[in-house]
Amino acid sequence: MKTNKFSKTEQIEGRVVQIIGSVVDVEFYTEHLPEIYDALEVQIDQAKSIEGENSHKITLEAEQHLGNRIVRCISLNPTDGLIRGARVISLGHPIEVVVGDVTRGHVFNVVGECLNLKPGEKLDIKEKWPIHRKPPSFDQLESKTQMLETGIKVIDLLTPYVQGGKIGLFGGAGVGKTVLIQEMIQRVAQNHGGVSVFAGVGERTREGNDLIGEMEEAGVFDKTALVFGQMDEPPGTRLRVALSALTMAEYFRDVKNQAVLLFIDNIIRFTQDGSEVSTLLGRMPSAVGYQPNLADEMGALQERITSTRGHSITSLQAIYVPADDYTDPAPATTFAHLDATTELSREIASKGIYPCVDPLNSTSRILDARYVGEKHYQVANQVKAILQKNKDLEDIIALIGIDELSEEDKITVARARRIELFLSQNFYMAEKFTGVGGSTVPISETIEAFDNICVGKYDNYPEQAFFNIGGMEDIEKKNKQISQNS
Amino acid sequence: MVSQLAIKKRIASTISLQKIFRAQELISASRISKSREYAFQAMPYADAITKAVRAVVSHANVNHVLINNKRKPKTTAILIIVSDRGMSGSYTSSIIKQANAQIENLQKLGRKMKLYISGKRAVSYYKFRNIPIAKSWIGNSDAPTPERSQEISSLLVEEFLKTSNNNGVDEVIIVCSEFVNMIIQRPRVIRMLPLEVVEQSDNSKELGQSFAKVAKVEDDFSKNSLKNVPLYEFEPSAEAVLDAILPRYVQSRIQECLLESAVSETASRQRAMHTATDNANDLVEDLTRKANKVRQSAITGELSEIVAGASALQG
Repeated sequence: MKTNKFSKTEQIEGRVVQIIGSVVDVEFYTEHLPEIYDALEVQIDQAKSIEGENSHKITLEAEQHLGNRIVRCISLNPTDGLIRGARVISLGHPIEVVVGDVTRGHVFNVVGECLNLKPGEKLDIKEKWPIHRKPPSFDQLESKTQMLETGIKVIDLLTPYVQGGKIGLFGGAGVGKTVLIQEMIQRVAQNHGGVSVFAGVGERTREGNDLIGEMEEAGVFDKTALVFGQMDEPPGTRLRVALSALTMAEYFRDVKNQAVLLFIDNIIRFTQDGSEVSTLLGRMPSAVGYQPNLADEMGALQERITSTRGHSITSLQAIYVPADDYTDPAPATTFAHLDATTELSREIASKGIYPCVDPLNSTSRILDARYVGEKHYQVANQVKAILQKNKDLEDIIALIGIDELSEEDKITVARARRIELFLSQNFYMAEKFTGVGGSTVPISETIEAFDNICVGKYDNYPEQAFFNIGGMEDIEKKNKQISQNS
Repeated sequence: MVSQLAIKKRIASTISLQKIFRAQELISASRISKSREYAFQAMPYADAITKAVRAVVSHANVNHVLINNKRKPKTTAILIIVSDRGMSGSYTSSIIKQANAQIENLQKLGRKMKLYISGKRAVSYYKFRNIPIAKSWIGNSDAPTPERSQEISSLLVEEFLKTSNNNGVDEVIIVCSEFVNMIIQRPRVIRMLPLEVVEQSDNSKELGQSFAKVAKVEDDFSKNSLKNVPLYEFEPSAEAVLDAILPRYVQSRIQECLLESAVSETASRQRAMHTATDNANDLVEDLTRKANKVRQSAITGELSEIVAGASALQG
């Protein structure tokens, strides 16, 4: 891919001249410098690492050429034990990760080292790909649009996901982004023929462990490659881990011609770590202190997550929204790249409605009669209209009470309440919290049920009959149950 | 985060709403005493006519058609008295709820219903639900005129006299409001026809209390009240007197219901508007706090950006 004016065989050597946290400056002896994004390695012999090994390796990535034969690098490992003058060897190529079928059922770190090998087990590495790659060219992109059915009512109805599209799950801290991602893995990966790749970017290590356990239980672990660079890793790692995972996914798409599901939890950490790295590199901060190349960095990643003719990467990205502020540059930059955005709102979570998808702010490119059909489009719009009307009336209700509304508005409010509750659903993943098993609702039933609410067929049912259930059958069942109890 | 402008707009609209609520509250406060006075002034006439009816009924041993209780009712007329305007809290809806409960009960017994409504709110309620209304009166619900009660009572009596066989009714029920005091007004159901003679107790001069303590006289004619009533002779006959006096009595009762409902409505409105004003104040307070927070965080953000940018340039 790269052509170096010096021959590849010649090893470039240098020494460490400055270490500031995870930023390392390396001086080279000749004018022959490693290229930007090339990987460098330092062997630390003297230091005793925590594991008791006598030597370990630190991988660096070249980021800036500072002049005077000095290259500024970002460390992908903790720099503990690194000293000035340490010998640095350039590998002559970017960081490479293992790709291919061998990655399935294994857990990797950012530089492609397998973390879950059993004693004695050895990876049969056939191919390695560099993590910095070009996005597919325009003529190769997929132009077909098809809906991806999830069986989650609120998502299928209001923010239908695109097969081979990019889907964002926005939400502040603790509103259930990770649970929703895990639920999607359970629902989609299970019925999904291809492979899945999961990138854990700067999230909790415990969640990674939970995920592996759950995947094994669901029987999808051997179809999934996992790449983790969690909270405890240095910023450089977290910045690159998404790319490592993406590279594995690209291999499945381009070489194996498979449909790939790519889960990224959490893409904002990628931005935040870019900002950390940027600051360490001494770049001038831009709006709200983010890196000046925020849009560029995000674009480079997002443009690679795309479907080419016939084979797709469907990506689901959890997007943490700092301080619930959607205008923050990080989520705002991410917005532009997505086909469908599912916003999780704290307000709805506080009503106890899960998944707490905000029905009015969540959107999808394919919520259009051309893609999802006339009926679906109509019902979705009607649902939104009722909810919007309810929202407009909220102030009045708060001030002078529901009795003051006109008869039409009272009915709208009653239906809006039923719709709100019916947008909740029992999840497979939430069984351990609620004790209620999950449900999958076919899209046709979802549309019919919401249509029924909109036209008032369920006006006489108690509101509680709509809460935390699946399809229409469940409404009837719960209604009966409630009327028996009272 | 919500924009500062959006919050400011909400504050402004809430403040103007609050002004309306406040004005409504003050208007109600000034009207309530007048309404109570009207209701109070109607009492001596109501008392007098009740006494007269009682006297006639207890001495004349006749079965007048209006007091005839033996007819098996098939069709029931319900007179619902509510307000014309909103902004009176749950006043209207609680009465409608009570009326609906009555209707449901009677329908279970196999009765046909005829709805007579005074007050626009109930008219729109039943119209919206496509429930037929036999006759409705709109306007002046907070200051009812004697003409209105005259019109209502004569129509209802006429319907009653026709009986269900001739497309009339066999029974008349009134659902209206009972004014207990300034805080409590509750829906009340009265069976108007066939007559149930009701008298206000003597000891309570306070209007609110007197409304609360109504004594059923009908069953007690022979036991208690006869002692107090002197002997009468009727000219030309007891029946002719009853024919003349009973419709007046019905009108007096309906007038009383209208007046009491008016008092209830005004009191209810005053209370509801007071709460609404408080709610609006709370909301404005909350929103102001929110606006300040948003403004401050915007300032902090800008400041720290400038400082960070400057120090990055220096560094």
